[in-house]
Amino acid sequence: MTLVEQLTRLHRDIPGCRAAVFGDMEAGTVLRACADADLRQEDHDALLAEASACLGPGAERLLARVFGQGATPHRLSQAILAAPLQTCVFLRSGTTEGEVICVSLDAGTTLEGVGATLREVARADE
Amino acid sequence: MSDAVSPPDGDGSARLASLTHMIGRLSRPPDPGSSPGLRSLPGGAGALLDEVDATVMARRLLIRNQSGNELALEVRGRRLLWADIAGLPEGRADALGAGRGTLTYAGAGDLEAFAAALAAFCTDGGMTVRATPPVRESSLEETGVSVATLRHALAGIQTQFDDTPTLEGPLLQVFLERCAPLVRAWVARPAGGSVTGDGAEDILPGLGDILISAEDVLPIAQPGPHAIILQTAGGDALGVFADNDDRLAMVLDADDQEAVLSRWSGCLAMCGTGST
Repeated sequence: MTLVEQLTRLHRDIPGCRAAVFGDMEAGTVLRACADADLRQEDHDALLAEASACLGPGAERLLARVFGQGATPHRLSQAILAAPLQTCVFLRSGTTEGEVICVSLDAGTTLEGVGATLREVARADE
Repeated sequence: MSDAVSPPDGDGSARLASLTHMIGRLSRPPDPGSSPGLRSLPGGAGALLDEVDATVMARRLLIRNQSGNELALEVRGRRLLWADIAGLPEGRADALGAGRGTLTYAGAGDLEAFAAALAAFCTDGGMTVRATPPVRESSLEETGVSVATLRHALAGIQTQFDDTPTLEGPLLQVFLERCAPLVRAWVARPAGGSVTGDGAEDILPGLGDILISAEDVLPIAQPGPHAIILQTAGGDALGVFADNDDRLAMVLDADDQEAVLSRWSGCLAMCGTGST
């Protein structure tokens, strides 16, 4: 299944999913997206920027301050952001540093099974 | 003819209040952090009826409450033509077509059932609304139900919902009590209060540190309650929760993060803050 097909599947199968986006956090570039018709490129860019904030070096430094600076840096694999009008799940994907899958869900949508579905897609991308 | 403007009578006052609300809504900037096409509504059926009252051209309103339930209304000319709502009593559901149907010829009993279901739907706190073109083809003969009639029907049943459970205390405090069994360590800082915490001693100082600096990194400083859970590859998770200026940070097992977020949603539903 191609990446586009995977994103289409996420958008179609996850209840309340408004957008499924694949992007490169380091380049700040959205590479593929499947989303509701009323969402625009700027919305995908904003979603990727939130993924960068939640999974990027700043967030990993927060973890290091909590758990201590070990021999290996604290690698963030996933983040969930529950904001007033939407819930977002961000999961690092693929073998290339910085690649991430983002899904934006309507607020209040249950997250049961969403993480597992995303991990399945991420594994397929490797 | 006199130029003097008479003070509005009873119905006039309600219409004036509705128009004031509409003007205020139009002049407000979009909600921060909102997704396009979506707007937030405060809790309560009154806000929903204001939305109907503000609709002239035919459109469908898709409303979602804090529990994730959806309600679809088709509206035209400030009148409700059709509704799809879960939770109508069985007999009444038949009258409206299994929870959906044309309200034009609804009798008083059907309206009461519909109003009760509407009020129950709206007791969950804030809602989101999205407007789309109408899907049904309604005939011009359909007159629907006026907002005034719906308000009247609602007034009769509102008192049934006065005992909706509410949070007893600040959101983050109640949330922490509810998820304490899942938390390995936590640190809280109420607005203007001192930092408190409990749990594994080796991570408490670090948690206290990030309580101050997390909002410089994570998108939690916007209005409304926000929750972020960061998961490491090693199976640990760090949660940061914000409600206005109150802050809470916790460490938990990644396996428990969905349960913690579920309790967060439950607390939000009880306090009606219009969040997650």
